[in-house]
Amino acid sequence: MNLRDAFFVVFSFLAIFGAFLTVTRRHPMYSALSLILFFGAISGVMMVLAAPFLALMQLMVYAGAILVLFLFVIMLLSLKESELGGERPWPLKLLAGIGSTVLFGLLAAAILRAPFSPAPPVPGTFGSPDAVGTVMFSEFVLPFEVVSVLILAATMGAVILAKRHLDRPAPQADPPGGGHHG
Amino acid sequence: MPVSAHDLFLLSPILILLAGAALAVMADLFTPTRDAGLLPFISLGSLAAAAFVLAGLWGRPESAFGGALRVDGVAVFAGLTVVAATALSVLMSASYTRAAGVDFGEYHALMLTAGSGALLLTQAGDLMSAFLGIEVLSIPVYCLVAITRDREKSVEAAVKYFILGAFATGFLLFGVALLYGAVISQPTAASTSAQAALLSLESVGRVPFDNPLLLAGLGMFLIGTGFKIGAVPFHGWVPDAYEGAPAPVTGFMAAVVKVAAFTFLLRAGMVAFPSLGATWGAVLFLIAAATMIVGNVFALAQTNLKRLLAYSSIGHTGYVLVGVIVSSENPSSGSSVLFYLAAYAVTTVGSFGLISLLARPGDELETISSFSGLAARRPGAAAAMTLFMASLAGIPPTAGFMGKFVVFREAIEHASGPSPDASRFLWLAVIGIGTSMIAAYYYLKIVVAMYMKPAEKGEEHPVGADAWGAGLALTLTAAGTLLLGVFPQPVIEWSARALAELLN
Repeated sequence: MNLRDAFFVVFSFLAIFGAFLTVTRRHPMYSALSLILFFGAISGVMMVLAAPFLALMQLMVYAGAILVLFLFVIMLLSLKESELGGERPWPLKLLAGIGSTVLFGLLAAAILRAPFSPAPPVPGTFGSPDAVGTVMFSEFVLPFEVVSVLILAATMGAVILAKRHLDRPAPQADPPGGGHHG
Repeated sequence: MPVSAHDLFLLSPILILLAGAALAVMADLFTPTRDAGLLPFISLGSLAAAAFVLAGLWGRPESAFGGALRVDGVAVFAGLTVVAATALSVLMSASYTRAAGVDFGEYHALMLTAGSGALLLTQAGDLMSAFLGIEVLSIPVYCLVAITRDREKSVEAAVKYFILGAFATGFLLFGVALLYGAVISQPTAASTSAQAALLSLESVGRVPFDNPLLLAGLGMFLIGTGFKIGAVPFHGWVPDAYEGAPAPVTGFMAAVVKVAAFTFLLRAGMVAFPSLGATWGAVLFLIAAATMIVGNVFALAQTNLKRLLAYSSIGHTGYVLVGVIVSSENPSSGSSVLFYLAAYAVTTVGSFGLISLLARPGDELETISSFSGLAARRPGAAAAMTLFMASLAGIPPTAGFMGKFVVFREAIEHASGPSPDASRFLWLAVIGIGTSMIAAYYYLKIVVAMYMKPAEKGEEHPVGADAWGAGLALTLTAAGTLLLGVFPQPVIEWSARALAELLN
């Protein structure tokens, strides 16, 4: 086992550990913090797999921006112990455990038994910002632009749902939404 | 691979809808009186333009962006169904959104964006466009479900739909990743120069069907799409989401989301998983049978009309699945799926449109008992509703009858086919016809309430607005339901031609 493999194993186990903590912690704050561990470890895995650009983006976007938003929202809500809901009943926990173990087993079996042909050597620039950018704006320009539409639609939806006042001067006399009296 | 002008031309129906969406948002800002009356016309205008361009692409199967988009007959047929259903939903929304105080440009923009996602999904030639199409379709719909945010039900429905939808997306994306893994693990993958070609449905179709990665990916893929079409056992969100969403949005969900998702399923089944029916036939059989039975049996007990129609839509998912299963072994049967989708879309948009027409601000006429005596209060609406219920039940001479007829005819014809498991098709047809008989009971319950029961106390007055938009939409859907039932031949021929282009 060379150094690269060793790093891969360490980061992988950290990722699994982080993911496990994320779903098992009852307090959302601990879940979110465990998720940071997971994102960091996944970023390490990407680094080992010669995808430095993806690794950096993973850290900046997920561990950086999105998780900070998560934590911000959780702190804003500042849930009390009583609002967290009780412990889940054990049959449910057991069922979830069995379900995920079976899924894991199936996936592991599929991946272990897959007939992989040896991967072709990749060029030295593989995974660099330069290479990713070139592919993204040439071969994958359609998906790239569609994602921007997706983000725009999500933003639009979030604004309209979260805006405090929907102050449209109503053309008719009825106040919006409350005009019904029998 | 540079983008050519021709690629953009083939993409233009989607671009036109997005331009309409942008215009709808900006109209809100720049019209001095902020009068929302203009908005439906912007939406309808862009939908009409998109339909015009789509219709012009009929008969010339082409692919754009290196195979990411397939603008063939199936895409045009399903695309026109999507555009028509979206236009009808827009018409029905006009008075409803005004009464509910949500007649913003964003409402129309979200609906048009969802429509563009549906178009992308019907044209998807590779896994990436399919996934993005599903997301561009789903995310605006989550927001639309919650848009009447003063109604607790609406928000609750949106949260449930969103969380389960996100869960399904996770499965779908994992499935896509595994399918991609199956493709690149092939020895031929190394010699492919274009990265994007490795994602195409054709590349997936060339992987031997016993590849474990392919099987795992297919399983996840089926779970993800099963959620989106509301097939049993992934149907749990459907009744809540359909009940809580504003009625015009429910109609949009039932028609557009189903048409687009099933069109992609049909295409994927034929191009990416050609031996799916022969090997996984038993699983698909169980899913389709359970979907037909659960949807129709649970509908019997419902007293809320929107929940009833939600369970009925689960049942209809089962009927379409019968068509998909038959065509997975006999590709030419796929045209029956296209026809069924068109017939179902017209009818379901009409029935939810009627509920939106009868809605009052903040209060929808939802229970079956509130439809009592509707024939006296609004004879036209009651007649239209009767027609829609007859069509959903599959009573001639309506679109729903012809849809069921073509799907079950294909199933029975191929039941004596060469495949050893072909007798399964006969069983599917038997279950389909049996559950349709059960379904007739609950659809007729509504008709009986409208015509034979007196109105409830305090509910004797005429209800609903006399809105031109909803009235026009109802006239169009009622006419469509009748026309597809009486003169189905041209549409059946178009669906057959559309499918022939996919198969060539």
